[in-house]
Amino acid sequence: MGFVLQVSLLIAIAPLGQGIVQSVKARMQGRRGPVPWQPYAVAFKLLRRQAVWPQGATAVMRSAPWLQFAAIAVASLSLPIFSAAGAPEILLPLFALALARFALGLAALDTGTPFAGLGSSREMTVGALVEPVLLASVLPWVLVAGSTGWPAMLQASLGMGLFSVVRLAAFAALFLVLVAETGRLPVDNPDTHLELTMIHEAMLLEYAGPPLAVILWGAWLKQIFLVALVAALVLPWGIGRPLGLLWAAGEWLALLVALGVAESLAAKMRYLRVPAYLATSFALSLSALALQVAGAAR
Amino acid sequence: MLASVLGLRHQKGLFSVLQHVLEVLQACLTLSLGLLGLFGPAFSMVLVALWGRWPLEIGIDQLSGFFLAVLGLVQLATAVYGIRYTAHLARGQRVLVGTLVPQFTISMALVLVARDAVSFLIAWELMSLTSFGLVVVEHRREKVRKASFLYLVATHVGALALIGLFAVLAAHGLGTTFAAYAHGVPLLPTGLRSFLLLVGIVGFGSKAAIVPFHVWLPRAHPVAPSHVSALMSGVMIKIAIYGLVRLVFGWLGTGPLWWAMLLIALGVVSSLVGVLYALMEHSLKRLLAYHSIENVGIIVVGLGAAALARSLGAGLLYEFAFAAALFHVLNHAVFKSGLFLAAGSVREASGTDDLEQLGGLARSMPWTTAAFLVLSMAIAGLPPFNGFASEWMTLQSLLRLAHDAAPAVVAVAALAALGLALTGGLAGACFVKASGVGFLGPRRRAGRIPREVAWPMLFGPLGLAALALGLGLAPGAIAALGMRIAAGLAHLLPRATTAPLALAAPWTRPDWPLYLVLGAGAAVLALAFALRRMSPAAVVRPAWGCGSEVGVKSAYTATSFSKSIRQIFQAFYQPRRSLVRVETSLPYLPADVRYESRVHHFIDQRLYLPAQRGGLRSARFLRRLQSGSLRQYIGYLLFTLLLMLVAVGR
Repeated sequence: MGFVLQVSLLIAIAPLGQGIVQSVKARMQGRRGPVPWQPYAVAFKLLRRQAVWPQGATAVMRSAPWLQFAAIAVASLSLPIFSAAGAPEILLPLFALALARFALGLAALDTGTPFAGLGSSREMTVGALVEPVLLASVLPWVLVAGSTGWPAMLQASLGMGLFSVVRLAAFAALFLVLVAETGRLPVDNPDTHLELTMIHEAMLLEYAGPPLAVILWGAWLKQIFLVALVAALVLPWGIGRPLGLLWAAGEWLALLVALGVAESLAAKMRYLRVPAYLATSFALSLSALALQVAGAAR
Repeated sequence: MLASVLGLRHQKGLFSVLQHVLEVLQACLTLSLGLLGLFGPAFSMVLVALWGRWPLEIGIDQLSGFFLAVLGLVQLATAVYGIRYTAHLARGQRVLVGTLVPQFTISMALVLVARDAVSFLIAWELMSLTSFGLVVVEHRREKVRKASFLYLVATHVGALALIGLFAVLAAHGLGTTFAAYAHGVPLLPTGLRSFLLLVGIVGFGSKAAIVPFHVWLPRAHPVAPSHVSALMSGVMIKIAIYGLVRLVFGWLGTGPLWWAMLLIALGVVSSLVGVLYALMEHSLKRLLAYHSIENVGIIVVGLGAAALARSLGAGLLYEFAFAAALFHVLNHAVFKSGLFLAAGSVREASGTDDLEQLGGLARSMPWTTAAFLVLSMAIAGLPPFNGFASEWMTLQSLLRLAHDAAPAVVAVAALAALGLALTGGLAGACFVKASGVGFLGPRRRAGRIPREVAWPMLFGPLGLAALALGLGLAPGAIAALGMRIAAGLAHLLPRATTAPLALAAPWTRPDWPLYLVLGAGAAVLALAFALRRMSPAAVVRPAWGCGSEVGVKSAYTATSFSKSIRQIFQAFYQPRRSLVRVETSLPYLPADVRYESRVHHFIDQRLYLPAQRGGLRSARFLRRLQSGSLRQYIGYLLFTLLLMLVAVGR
């Protein structure tokens, strides 16, 4: 029952998360910007519109939004939000995110348009590189815990000093992946429809109406899922405590604001420079790992 | 029972319903024999003793039973597929395929039931020769002849290593029976056992296509008829894995850590090299062949993790990692043979397997497309399919190994886990390319619209796709079976290694996350149904192409899809490209533009090409001996005789 509550909560607040990031960005640019709950209005507007399918598109394109949404919902099931005891382990969500990406990448090729093909090619390339980087950024905790299960990992995280170098390095690595995985600057630009810059958006150009709403909501859910994942790994003190959810919500808010600020300060990177960006995160994770091993050996 | 399987060989050659019925029957027999081995008691019997000294012994135990069951399963799918598929072959080819396929499958079964070195080698050689015969079926094409020759050379280098392996064992007084090896080999000195391991890796690795012994596979597997490619990629390379498992876990016993690390390193390199080259392919069958190298790599990583756990004395972890490797053997057999069969159907229906010429098959061949898509998701390791379950188990064993271990072990295990993650990501990209460009989007070639194939050719791919889903949803049974086989093999060791190990509860149960998948899937479907009525009915309109018409010319191709990966991994591929413009009188409007890009296969270029050149050069040198004069040859003979007399007389 806790799982159902948890996934419902994340689905419910996912658009708000996106709204917060957009408000922060607007303020940073000196604009008033939309209200934080604007994404709800966007989604409900799309849900009432007519779906338009490109000629020749098959069931692959029609089912992809739901498959993507379901995969990300599964991923967000396996997070310790209310308690760690019942939460599953951490590899499944990583595989589930890969499933979501696969579904959209395939759907983009189903349209047969050059834009979608370009988006699919770029998204799958970046995705292939993100996967090991994402795994690397959770490795320090997995190795200390000796398990990919959440209870052991939270124990391990609680056991480290608050400002231990391992925690800081791993947090930096996680944050860089978070920026890449949520499709933000400097990796992807969520605000343009220009073929030179976009990755994720290019795949969605042929979607309209309710399917587009499902995809967008899924992407927002993925964002809040990743934010909650980083919060749970780095600062797990609230989990399982009374009022722990408030503590967690505070962490999420801080991370979302940080995302907005970071995106406002970054300039778009050339697409082929993205591997170098991801390599930075990878190197940070490996150093966290090495520090951990050296610390354990001492 | 086995005799009845063998008896079927004599029925071949006449082309009739009878032959196909017998092939299907043979597959069922192999499958039931395998199940008997898995769940019944182990037994073996001596058929005949050669010259009273070398017994020819056959038998089955759980390990053989597992591989036999895998063989039977794939054989069943390919045999049904063959009912229609072989009808399209030319008459001469049909005779060849009809005669060789049953012999090929029986020889694979024989390798699995052999219980002594002599019958093992005979069966092994039979397997190699019959598969060579099947690769060379289309011998009128020069490419096929070259590929077959390369395969023949590679397979004989491997056989040579295996003969050497068994000869060394015999020289140390261990005889030829496997029972003697199981008891005797662990007592040999470590240096000698290490040597045996290296020889075994060359011997079995050249058949399993572990990098750097892989060069023949992407050339030889695709040129065979598709249901034979399915057998070769799905099963034959697993027979080599069986040999490796028998050697490493059945005989060699617990060894130093570097054995396991070598296996893990070979596995990771194989999986990465396999998937990186697969990304550059646009021939569907060659792409699949490269993925076989990748998956063999994943299996070998699992075996290496098991060996590492055993060396460290972690019994339960050893069983878990071993089960992961065996599970991936089964899974790869399921999805790879299914994919090859589907690729064969595509080739049959549209006349080509070049991705750049395909596209749009989803509309004309919906069932084949559905099977291919499901199997693609399975091979890319996505939940809830079977590839996910075994890759998850392999990753889990590596991560668990890295806990509280020596820094070297941590480094190897963590890097291997990251390598597997990269492999998984690249495999996902590759199968989006293969199924997206090949089956979806616009049709890339004008002409006859391909039609859906007949039911025998759908049975295999669809059945295997269903199996991929089933194994993914209930992986616990197979995992438990693999752990039992591992425990059975460890019994043969002189030292008890199955020490109890405290384990976190979740990761010994690979099936439990999948219930979540099902639950969430059902919830989302309900949501989808509820939301249906909120908006007006959907319409279909032309896709948007910036004002110009969207068509074949503007659609992404397989080459353009993987372009950025080619650029990112430049150092590995060393791509060359050539751009030729056919100019007209107008400078900015060329009549035609030809673009060609090739990647550099550095293992072929740096390792095998120099070896080949060296071989040819030394052959040229030796040719000087061949003057053609009879008197000189008689002189050689007398000289040799003299030398031998001196040697013997001493």
